[in-house]
Amino acid sequence: VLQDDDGQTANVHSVSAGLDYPGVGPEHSHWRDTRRVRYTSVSDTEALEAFGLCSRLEGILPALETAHAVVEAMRIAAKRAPSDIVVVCFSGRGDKDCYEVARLQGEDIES
Amino acid sequence: MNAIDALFQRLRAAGKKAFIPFLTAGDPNLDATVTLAHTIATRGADLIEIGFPYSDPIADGPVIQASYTRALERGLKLDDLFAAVRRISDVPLVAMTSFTLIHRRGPAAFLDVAQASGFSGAIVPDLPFEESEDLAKLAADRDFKLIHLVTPTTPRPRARDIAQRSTGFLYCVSVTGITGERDQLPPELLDQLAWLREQTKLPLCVGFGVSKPAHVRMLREAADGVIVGSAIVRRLEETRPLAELGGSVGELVESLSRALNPA
Repeated sequence: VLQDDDGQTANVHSVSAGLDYPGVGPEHSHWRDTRRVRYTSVSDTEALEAFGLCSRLEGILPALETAHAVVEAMRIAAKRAPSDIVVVCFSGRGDKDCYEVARLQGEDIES
Repeated sequence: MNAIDALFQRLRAAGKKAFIPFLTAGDPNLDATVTLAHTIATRGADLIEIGFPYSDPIADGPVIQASYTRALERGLKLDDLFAAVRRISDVPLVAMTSFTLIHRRGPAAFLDVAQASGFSGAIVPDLPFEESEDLAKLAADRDFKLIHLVTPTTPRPRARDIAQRSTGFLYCVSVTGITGERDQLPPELLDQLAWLREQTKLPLCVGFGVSKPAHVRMLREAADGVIVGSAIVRRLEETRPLAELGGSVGELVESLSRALNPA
């Protein structure tokens, strides 16, 4: 858990509601410690760009959580041969995030 | 002797019950907390429960949670809290704190500074019974009370185990759910208290939802004490100017403690 010296939970933020969380569970911690999984980070701006790119180029509206994974997939793909296959798990769809993304882009799609 | 044990011994001998008001440390500020503690000690508080503001309280309703947030937004730190509590010496004090704060400081270090600051015991609502043995040992080594909670839905064998491990008193949660004022307390509560009375010699103190003289009158035969939190904390939030806080909280404490121990 991200916390201060007293143990108060840190005020964290993410553009994605599902990632707006100050802790990491024991399974992820174990996978990281045993090097079974490599963890990385993605900024809000990068995730929003990937949300737009994936929607326009693939016709798939990713959840904002998934958009973070798309960013890393693009980083990996850039270092690979075009014939290589990179698999991304789409953990959720972005219908739920359309209004938030539109709001961040200054557009009103609710009315 | 631990001050909580001495208090209940004295009250029992006098045929009286403990009135236990709750104050959030640092709401509206630490100086006010110290002043209010002095004030309510003169108006019927027998023991004061000091709430340690915590970012993620699990047992508290909106009133106390908002109070914790106000205190933390003012930059409240644990060491300032302990330093302020050292200035309160009127009545015994019990800490209401999340285990997260204890864990971060280190349980032994936390108990040492809490005791040195004048606390006689602690209530740790997010510490499950099964995980509480280590802290209970550390507390027992210091004659520091670790007060456990039972709720209306605690299965009886488990409630019996909890009552055996608790020290100082047993905190009997009156309702299912979180802290906060209720119109009425459930009538089954009296049955639960009667059953608990057969399981333990510990004083039984009832909290959660207790906010009116009628609640206190309902409990005064069956319980050894009542704990009132949200009704007091709401006054911390609503009473302005701050100069009127002592009068406002003092009046509430006096009306409830008189309902508990009529002259």
